Amino acid sequence: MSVRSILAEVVGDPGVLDLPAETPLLSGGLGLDSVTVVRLLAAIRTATGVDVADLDLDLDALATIGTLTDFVATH
Amino acid sequence: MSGPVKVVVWDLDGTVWPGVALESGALPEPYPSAVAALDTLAGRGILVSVASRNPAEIGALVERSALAGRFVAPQYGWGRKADALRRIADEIDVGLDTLAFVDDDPLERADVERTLPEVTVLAPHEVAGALDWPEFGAGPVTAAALSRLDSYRQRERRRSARAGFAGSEEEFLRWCELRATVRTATAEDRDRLVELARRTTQYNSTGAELPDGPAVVLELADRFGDDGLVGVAPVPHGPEWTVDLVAVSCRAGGRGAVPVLLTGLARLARSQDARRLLVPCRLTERNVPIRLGLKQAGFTAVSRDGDTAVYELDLAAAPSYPDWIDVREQW
Repeated sequence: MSVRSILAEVVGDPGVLDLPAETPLLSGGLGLDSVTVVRLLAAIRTATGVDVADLDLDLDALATIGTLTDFVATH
Repeated sequence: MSGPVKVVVWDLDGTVWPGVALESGALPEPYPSAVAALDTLAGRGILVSVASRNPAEIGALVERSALAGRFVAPQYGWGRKADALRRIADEIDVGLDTLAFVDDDPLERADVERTLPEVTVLAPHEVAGALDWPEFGAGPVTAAALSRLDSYRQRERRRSARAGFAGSEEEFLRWCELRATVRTATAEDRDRLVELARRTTQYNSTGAELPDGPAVVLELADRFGDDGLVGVAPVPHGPEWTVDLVAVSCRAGGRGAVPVLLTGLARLARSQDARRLLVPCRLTERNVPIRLGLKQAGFTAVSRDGDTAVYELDLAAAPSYPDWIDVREQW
């Protein structure tokens, strides 16, 4: 399961699948609140085994859809 | 069970009404004894909520029935009732030890008793008797009970305003006219602060007990009302200016309160000639929200030891508060 499809499922909006990779996940973009971020990271960990919360101390991976996809792909 | 019960959480099928609503096609008439208990609790300022394995559609029917408007933070769905109780405590911002749970199913009661021993668990036929216990506030309605209901309604109004607000999160916060006070804690604050430190999980850096000694607190208010004390951190100490704990209530953390408290701490440390401020933080999934707050306030990770990382803010330049909030400092 791809990071994008997990994201689409967590926010409940299939439109996310077609957004550009530069779309910010937090303010100025999807505007995910912190509770949704926690759910997203848990879903990614379950589906891919990549624990972003543990590996990315500064949570830079949460900048955009693309940075998160890349982070999961390289870990 | 020692403290007062603040919220009574009800199962529905077989507890508030006979039978199974989904199989009946319409809501069954509630038991008169259940309605009488709900009335008594309302009169005492004790909140009532729902933990039901029914789908949300049944909740919508409840809100069109004679029971409409009674239940706060109701939880519908197939998950465990213990999890529903945790969510209710979180949403209403009360401790689990102030919850009572009523269910006709002995298995559900046993599971909650085992998982959450601090919750008072009752079978429906025990409720009438329990209402005479001192824990159920057989006495005058306290100001605290009324303010709890107020503060819950306030959050509901804020939530629905946010849902109808087209702008960005920052524009919404600006529209809310947020006002904060960052100040040193007084002796009278202590009990509330210890409780705040214990209850918070998402916006909590280490999960440590609040140490004795001086602390910095955050008070928050906006156009919807006054939240009072919502955040605490002990005054940083040592040559490295380390902060042992940062704790912010979840209702305030969701409104950007973490960077405000951290900036207050940083300004205090800088005024006392600190060069940098260090915040050790546990690396769990659940407290990712406070790490997002650290990031917003300009902190970056500088080291890691096991499941804890240390975040640092350089104090060469004076940290300034976010511009969507009006902050007053009282040192």
